[in-house]
Amino acid sequence: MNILLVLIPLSLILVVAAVYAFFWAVDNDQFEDMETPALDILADDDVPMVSRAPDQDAR
Amino acid sequence: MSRRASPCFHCQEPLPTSGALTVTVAGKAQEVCCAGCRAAVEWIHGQGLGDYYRLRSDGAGPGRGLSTDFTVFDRPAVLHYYAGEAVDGVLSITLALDGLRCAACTWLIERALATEPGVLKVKVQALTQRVTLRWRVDVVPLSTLAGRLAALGYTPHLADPTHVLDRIKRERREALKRLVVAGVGMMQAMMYGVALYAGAFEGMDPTVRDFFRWVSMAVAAPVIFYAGQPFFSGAWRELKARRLGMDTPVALALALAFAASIYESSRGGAEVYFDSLTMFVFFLLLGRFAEQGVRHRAQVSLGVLSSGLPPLARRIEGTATVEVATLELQAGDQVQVAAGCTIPVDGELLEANAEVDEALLTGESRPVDKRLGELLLAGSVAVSRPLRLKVLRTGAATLLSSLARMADDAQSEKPASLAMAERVARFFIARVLIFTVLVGLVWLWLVPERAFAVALSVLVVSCPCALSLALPTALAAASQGLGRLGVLVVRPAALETLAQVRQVVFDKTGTLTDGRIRITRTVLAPGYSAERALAIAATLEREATHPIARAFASDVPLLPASNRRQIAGRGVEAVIEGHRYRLGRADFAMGSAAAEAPTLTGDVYLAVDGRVMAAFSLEDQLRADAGEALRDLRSAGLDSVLLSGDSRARVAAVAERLGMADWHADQQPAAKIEVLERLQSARGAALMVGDGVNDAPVLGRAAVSVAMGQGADLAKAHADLILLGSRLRALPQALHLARRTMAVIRQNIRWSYAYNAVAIPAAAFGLVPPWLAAIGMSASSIVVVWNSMRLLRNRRPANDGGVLVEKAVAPLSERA
Repeated sequence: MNILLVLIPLSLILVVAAVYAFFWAVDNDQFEDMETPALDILADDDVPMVSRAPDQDAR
Repeated sequence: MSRRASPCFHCQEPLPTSGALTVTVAGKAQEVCCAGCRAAVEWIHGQGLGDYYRLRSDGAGPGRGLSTDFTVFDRPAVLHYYAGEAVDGVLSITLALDGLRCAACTWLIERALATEPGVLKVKVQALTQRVTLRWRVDVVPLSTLAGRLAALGYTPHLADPTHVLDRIKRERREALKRLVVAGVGMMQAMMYGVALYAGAFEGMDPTVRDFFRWVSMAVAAPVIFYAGQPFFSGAWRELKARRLGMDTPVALALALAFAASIYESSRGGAEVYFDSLTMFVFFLLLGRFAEQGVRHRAQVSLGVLSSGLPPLARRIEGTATVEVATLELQAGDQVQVAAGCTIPVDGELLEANAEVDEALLTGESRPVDKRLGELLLAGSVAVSRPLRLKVLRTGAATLLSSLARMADDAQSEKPASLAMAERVARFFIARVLIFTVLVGLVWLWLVPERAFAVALSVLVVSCPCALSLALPTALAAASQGLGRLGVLVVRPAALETLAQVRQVVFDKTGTLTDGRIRITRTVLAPGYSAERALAIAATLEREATHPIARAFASDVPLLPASNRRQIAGRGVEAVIEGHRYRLGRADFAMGSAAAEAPTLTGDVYLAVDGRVMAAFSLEDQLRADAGEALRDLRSAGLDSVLLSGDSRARVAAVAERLGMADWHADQQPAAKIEVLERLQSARGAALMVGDGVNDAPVLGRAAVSVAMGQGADLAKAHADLILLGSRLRALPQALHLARRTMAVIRQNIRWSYAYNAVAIPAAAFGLVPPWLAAIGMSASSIVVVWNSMRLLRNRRPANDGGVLVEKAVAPLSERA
């Protein structure tokens, strides 16, 4: 059972890392808009973006 | 009314009963309600963004054509104030947007603006209804981008940097973090909990057991002290206010159980409760998060944050005028107001005469004539031509602001519709606390070593968690259901009152009618055709700024005209094909010959060289579904009352057409309140529907109030619900949903009671260990949440609303 003494602290470190990553994501606007990104992939946007945008670094 | 089945292709509003336009999309003719929407559809497809119509789940705001003038956005003073200093010719600004309805709007805006040259970054914040732009000032002026937004139906406004939005954003982020910490902590604590239970049955080495307990404590501590912090601060607030609320027993249970668990762990005792605690915190936070989301969406969504006055004014300095922020104006300054613009301050007129529209302040739908030296009110609109005024009062001193305060007062006097569950829960909490202490004492006397575990079980099992979730979850679900109907919930508690409403009181202009003047009847003198008369009228009114001019704006080909003149309060004239045409009041159009045309009656006359040619009857047109909405309300057993500030004849005409027996005309805001209170005391709670600033105090006084989405910001700020779009039928549907919501809430509360009636005695007799109590508590909460979510499975009336869905999935695979 001694392996528990390694594995459980290890899992705690992973949990802390996951929570830290989540906090980072929240603070960097990743959860501001939960709907639009889902729509982005539905539209093949290459057509208007390439043919219409003279300013290539538009986004 | 039979054609209302097909709404406008772009904005999904009902089509006007006459004069709908068509636009050809992918070889298919689609009907749109106005030229603005047609322009929007054409542009969107021209840009290859036609997918918008497939992706969206709600109609767009009506397009406004490309004509709207935003050049003021380019003024250095404006850019300096709202966008700050340019860095390498790049500026960044945040604009507030009207009309963001669904995710596809965000998609469309970001794509549409990104195709404009010079735009570096477009970010729409759906939550706060703002768009942040970074663009090169030397490549594209802001006005072009603003005009593009407006053409799509999203009118941009200069937005003062506001702390409210920051606060909402911060609250949401904190809640999200707390929720996730509690969720992750709960999962960890559960896993260790399983090991501990297995160990308790199978036998476990005390060292390993203690190790698991201390690890559990390590994951539970952040859940209690970080995620659970709102409960402790809430309990502290309740303690200071000497008001027993939901947070007190929660904080008490958390603190007691956590302390006891640490004590038990340290002495190797029988039972620890870390797993139950984390679960408890997580489920409570989940309920709160749902409720908070509803509240935030509502706060942000519409105009609640703005004052209704223009952010800019033109100050006269010597011979020139200078654009300044309205905030900078002082009494004694002279200000110029362009035709069609809102007057930013209370002031004294410096022109010989002027015409202003005070509809927002008095409800009078016709422009009012003002003479030199008369008082002009902030919030009224200079109708026909530019005017100058001397500033008397600014900001908070204006009549508009005092009306706003009046509305605030009315709001605070609102019958305290305390949420049912909160009352129940408070009553319940005091008894639970006392009961817990009693049970603990009895056990201490009988079986001292089990006393704490039993008392804790009672406290946890009886936690009014299900009870506290009963209301917020049902309200959150109902708010979402209402959102689908186009009704925005500003104050969730209003739903309770909405279900009890006995009568509906309507304002007229802008509420039952759409606030746009239209031609209802054209009477012609012999020998003229209607087309010819309308073409001439449209030509005459082409450059006029009076609201009536919009009634004549149409697609007919315009004729070349010269010598245009606009005479305020009388009419317009011009020379067309060698003849002098006049359009306006009878005595203006026909001059002295006015009395000789008794056969033609109307509101506005068209004459050629002094001979009458046609008479037009004008009317603020009823909303397409007003009649149906009223019928639905009647069949739901509700009385409808018309309460308007407009003139008697007009109100009577509208009431008659809609079959409303009960109407009140010529009502000033104070009188409206009086009438409303009389109605409420006679027949019970009233739902007030209005749109103008003058309605704001009445809205505050009604049991429940609904503001029209296109209405004044002030009205919206004081309403409980906001009706987006112009479907009045959403009202009866919202009432129906509110009643269902209250039924669900009652079920939830009954369930919580039944659960408590079984669980508390069981716990008191020591039959429920704390871990089972925590599971029971959670299970009862889950049942409540599930029951509330049933409201989202919205059974819409079959004859309505299906249109939206059909349109949204209609194939639009063209890509020219």
